[in-house]
Formats: sequence, C-alpha cells, structure tokens
Amino acid sequence: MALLEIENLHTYYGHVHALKGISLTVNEGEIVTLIGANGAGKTTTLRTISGLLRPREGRIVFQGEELNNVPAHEIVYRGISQAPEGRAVFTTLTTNENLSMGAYSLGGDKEAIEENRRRVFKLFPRLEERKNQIAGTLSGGEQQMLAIGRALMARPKLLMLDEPSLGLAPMLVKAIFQTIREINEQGVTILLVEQNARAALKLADKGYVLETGNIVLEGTAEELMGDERVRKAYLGER
Amino acid sequence: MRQRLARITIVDLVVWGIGLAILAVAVWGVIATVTARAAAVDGYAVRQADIAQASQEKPVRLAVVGALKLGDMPDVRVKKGVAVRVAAGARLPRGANVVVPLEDTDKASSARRGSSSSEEVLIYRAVPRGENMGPIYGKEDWISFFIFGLAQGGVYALIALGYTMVYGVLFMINFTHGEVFMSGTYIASYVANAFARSGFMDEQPIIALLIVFAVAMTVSTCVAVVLERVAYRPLRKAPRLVPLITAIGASFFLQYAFARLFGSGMKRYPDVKALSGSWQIGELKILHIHVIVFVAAVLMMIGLYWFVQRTKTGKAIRAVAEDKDVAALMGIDVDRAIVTTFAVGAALAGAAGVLFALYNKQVTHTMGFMPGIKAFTAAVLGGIGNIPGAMFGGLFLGIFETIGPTLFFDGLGVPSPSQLKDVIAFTMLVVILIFRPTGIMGEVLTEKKA
Ligand SMILES: Nc1ncnc2c1ncn2[C@@H]1O[C@H](COP(=O)(O)OP(=O)(O)OP(=O)(O)O)[C@@H](O)[C@H]1O
Ligand SMILES: [Mg+2]
Repeated sequence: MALLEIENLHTYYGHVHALKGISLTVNEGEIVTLIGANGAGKTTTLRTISGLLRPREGRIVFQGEELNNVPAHEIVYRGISQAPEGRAVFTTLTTNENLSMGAYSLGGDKEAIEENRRRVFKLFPRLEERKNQIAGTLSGGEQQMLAIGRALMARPKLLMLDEPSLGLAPMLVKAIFQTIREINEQGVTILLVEQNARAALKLADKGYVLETGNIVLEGTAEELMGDERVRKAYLGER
Repeated sequence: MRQRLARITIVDLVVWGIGLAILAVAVWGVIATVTARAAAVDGYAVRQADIAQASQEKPVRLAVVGALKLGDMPDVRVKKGVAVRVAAGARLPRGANVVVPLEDTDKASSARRGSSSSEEVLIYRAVPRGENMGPIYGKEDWISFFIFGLAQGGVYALIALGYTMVYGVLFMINFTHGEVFMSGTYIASYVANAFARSGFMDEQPIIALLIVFAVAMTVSTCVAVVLERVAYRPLRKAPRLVPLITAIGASFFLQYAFARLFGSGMKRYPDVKALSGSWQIGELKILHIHVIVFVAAVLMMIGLYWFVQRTKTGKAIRAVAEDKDVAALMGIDVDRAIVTTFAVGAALAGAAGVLFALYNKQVTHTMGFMPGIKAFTAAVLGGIGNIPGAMFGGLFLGIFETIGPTLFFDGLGVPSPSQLKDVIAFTMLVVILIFRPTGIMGEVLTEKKA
C-alpha cells in the first residue's frame, strides 16, 4: 500500500513555478530517492510535503489522508519527519535539547522520549559523547547526525532526508548511508533527496529524477543506474 | 596595515572624534566631581596663606566678596586677601583651600572711603590647610544613588526583556511595548486606589498587592496579545519597516485612547504603608521600597530565565527564535509560540509598571514612553535578542542613570544635574549604536534570520 502518494503537485514561490506537476509514490518500508541537479526542486518538494509551502494544485495523500491543508506543525503528528537541508540544527541549543525538540510532538511522554533518545544514541554514538555540547559547535558531520537523530525522535513512519551527504567526507557519507539503511531496517520508510546519485541509488529501492520542477525519469534503483541518461548526467560517466 | 589605514574615512574620524570628545568630557567631569569640595561647617572659605599669621591677638582682616548657600554654584574665586562666606554643605569656590569656622571669625564692617557697603571679616585662628572641607558627595550618597539605580534598573530590565524576546522571535522592535507597560499599570491603579480607600491595602498589603499585580499583568498581556493578533500577525511577511510604523501608530492609539477614556491628568498611586519605611545605617538611609522593587524584579527575572531555559514552551520559543520553519517541522505551533512570547513580555511589563508606580506614586497615559524607550536602550545595550543581555542592560542603565548625572556633570557646574539623566541615557544609546551595535553581550540569535 502506498504510504505517501503525490499527484500532480504544483508549487510556486511568488511567480516562480518551482514544481510543475510532480507525481510520486512511496510505499511502506521502502527507501525512495529523489535525485536532481541544483535548483531542480528537490527541497521544494520536501517543504511542500511538510506543509512549509502550500501547493497551488495537486494532492498530497499520506496514509489515505490528504495533507494539503494541514498546518506545518501538525504534519509531524501524522508521522512525517524531516531532516532539513544544510543540517538546520538549533545552533544555540545543546545536542540533548535539539533531540528533545525533535520529540516535541510526543508531548509529556518522558518514557517514550528517553527510549527514542537511547535509540538515536545507539545509531549515532558520537551524539551521546557530545550530548551537552551546544549544537552550533558540533562538526558538520555531527550536525548532520543530529539533524537525522532529531527527526527520528518523533518516531516517524516516513523520514525525509534532504541531502544528508552534503559537505561530508566520503568516509562519513558511507557511514551515514549505512545508518540510513539501519533506520530503514527498523521499519522507517525513507524519502531521500540527494545530489550524490550514486550513493543514493545504491541504497534505494526506487528513484525519481527531477529536472527543473518535472519528474523526467522514474524506476527501480537498478533501472535508473542502468539508464544511459542517468549515467551521463548524474553518475559522471561518458 | 597600510590598507587598514587607507580604509579610515572622514566619517570614521568624525565619529571617533565625537566619541573621544564625549569620553573626554566624561573623564573631566568625573575628576571635577570627585575633587570638588564642600564646606563642612558654616564659615569663610579663604586661602590658607592669607591667614597663616592669624591669632587671637592679631586677627587677619579679609574682604568678603560673596556668600554661598547649600546648592549654590560658586561664581567667585578666592584670590589673595579675600574670603567668601559659605554655609555648611555649600560648594567651595575655586582658590579656597581652607574653611575657617564661624566661631573663629568676627564681622568687621569697615568705613573705607568709596566703598561704603564693603564687608570685611576678622580671622582669629590660623586654621590648617584643608580643614573643614569635605567631598560634596559622601560614600552614603553614592550608595543611596546606587540602590535607587538598582530599583530603577530592575524595572528597566523587566521591560527590556519584552523588547528583546519579541525581537528574538520576530526581528521586530515592538515600539508599543511602553504602552503595554502603561495599560496594565493604569488599570491596576484603579484597583490599588480602591483598596487604599477601603483600607484593604493596609490590612492585607500582601494580598492586595498580589491582586494589583495580577490585574496589571493580565491587562498588559491582553493588550499585547490583541496587538499581536490585529496589528502584527497580518504583517508578518511585510517589509520590516511596516510593522515598525504600525507599532508606533498603535502606541499613539493606546495613549490617546487612555487619555480620552480616563482623562489626561495625572493619577495618584496610593502610598502603601507596609512598603514605605526605611532603614538607617549610620548616615545611610535606605528606602524599603527601593530594595523591594529590586528584589521583586530579580525574582521575576529568575522566573523568566527558568521559563525560557527549562520549560517546554520556553524551549519552543528559543527554537522559533532560531528558525521558524525548522521549529514547525518539530511540531511547534509557531504562531502560538510568538503569541506566548508577547504575552510573557507583556506580563513582565505589567509587573514592572506596578513596581514603577509604587515608587513614583503616580500614573499617566504617557508614563510608558520614557521607561519604554529607556528599556529599549537597555535591550540594545545588552545586545537585542539576548535575554541575559536585557537583564544586564537594564540594571546597568538604571545605575548609570542615577549615578551618572552627578558623577559626570556635578563637577562641571551644571545646575541640578539629575535632570540630565535622560541625556546621559540617550547619549549612551547613540554611542552604542555607533561603536557596538550588537550590544555589550552581542546578539545571540542573529545566525539564522527568519
Ligand atoms: N524562497 C524562494 N524564493 C524564490 N525562489 C525559490 C525559493 N526557494 C527556491 N526557489 C527556487 O525554486 C527552485 C527549486 O529550488 P529547490 O531549493 O527546491 O532546489 P533543490 O533541488 O533543492 O536544489 P539544491 O540541490 O541546490 O538544494 C530553484 O529554481 C530556486 O531558485
Ligand atoms: Mg535543496
């Protein structure tokens, strides 16, 4: 069954037509990747799903319910978390406080919050070592881990990651992608936005290729990796 | 190095020139104040050299060229062979280096030709140099200035928190905050006066005052919440100047509304007997009310700090201050966090207003303007957006403003220098804005502007 279904989504920034009728499907338990060049509309797609932007046309359906008019702060209660682009952690809060913010939607359920915190620390032991550090002073990689960990604190059904590999050393990218797989194996469906198409397709079950607000290609990860256009444009082959 | 020099422009030079000039005046004023002396007893200010030979048998005769009472600014200079009559506590004229007590002198009107009205004095004792002179302001004076400054500063700090918190979440200066402060205090003054008339204020001062505080805080909060909803929220996406102008408009609206509804005269705030005593420690007199105001302000600041640091709502406000979109992703209702910020700031302002009225003993529809703009200065001083900065800035400004005028201007011969406290406060604002616009403690929340 489709967990998330997007039909003919149009989003604008004022007069800028950023998404020009996108449709995509994410099934329960899958890792789906959305790849595309700078400015293709990947972040815009995630922000529209999260309710930070309102589509002018189209439908977003999550678990059979339409999200189009759900306010941004209620989306997480429905089971969707996002680790936004550029490791947008709260730089003036500590690691632990950031994680607590991630669990804001759990209300006063201390037990569940601490349980989730333990899970996050298990996935990212580095965060536990730095739990009382101000997040602004964490390294880029640690901030990325924190952004993902914070998104997990809400126990989402669908985790959306916006370019988790951005600006990280190859070793760390590998480690983070390994962790994403682990998260998925624990039952979290993942929508992964990436420019690093090679790493993303290796991990994903399914992919969509976005170009200037349109989906130009879709298919299983193997199909896309085998596609000549993808190989040329996104995998750097000639 | 040469490149850095090359970048200094005429404007920089002028600015630094003004800064240095202000600094020079301040330093000169401080030196003049600290070194200025007053007469410790009634007597005559003279030059010691003139009276060195004086004795019971052979008194020295000096011409009296003037008389100074307490509070007079000396307009004469003690030259060779003259004396100036001074009252105890009067500021000494320049040139004098000793005061001869009245009992060691005698009036001697001489009938010199030409100057019929000239007065002279006989000095019977060679009083040693420096005798009977003291600093104009003693230690006790400075301490009592300081304590009043703490009270005033506590009030400023409470108001400043409202400016700084709203700035933190909206990057907007809420120039209506002074009127928010006024509204609660003004309405609460009716309650306070009713309690005073019925005697309840004297019978149960604590309960009565708690009710007065509750009324003030509630009214201020309601005004702020309505303002946010009606005047600011619709403009959240507008250019920053727009809500600023709206705020000024709303500020006038509130002032005139109160003037029309309740009259534009001054209203008395009742004396609370329970708070009106004082402690006497030697020469030093400390008013209870000043200490109570300061302590109450500090307690509220601690409460606020706890709220912002420890509670879930407080953390949500900090998250919203840093990044509204990401806060929304966490499930935080951004609009609600913003309203809460306005409400908390307003409640503090309402409480500050009652404290302010308790020692000023009056309210008017314009009472919000000065404290409001002072508190804004305090917030800028501490670094706008920075909560501990606002607390520090408020206290600093309060103290600076009560001590500063005397310290800087008294020695320069400015009459009633305490009237210059506003000049001092705003000079400081301008100087900060020029030399350190991020405030002393820096702006904490600028990294991600929404
Ligand atoms: N706030 C905005 N106002 C106007 N246009 C915007 C805004 N944000 C994004 N855009 C435009 O929308 C288009 C899609 O941007 P988006 O951020 O979704 O790209 P992206 O695929 O995430 O790119 P990147 O890989 O660089 O992050 C771009 O052309 C961009 O310039
Ligand atoms: Mg992007």
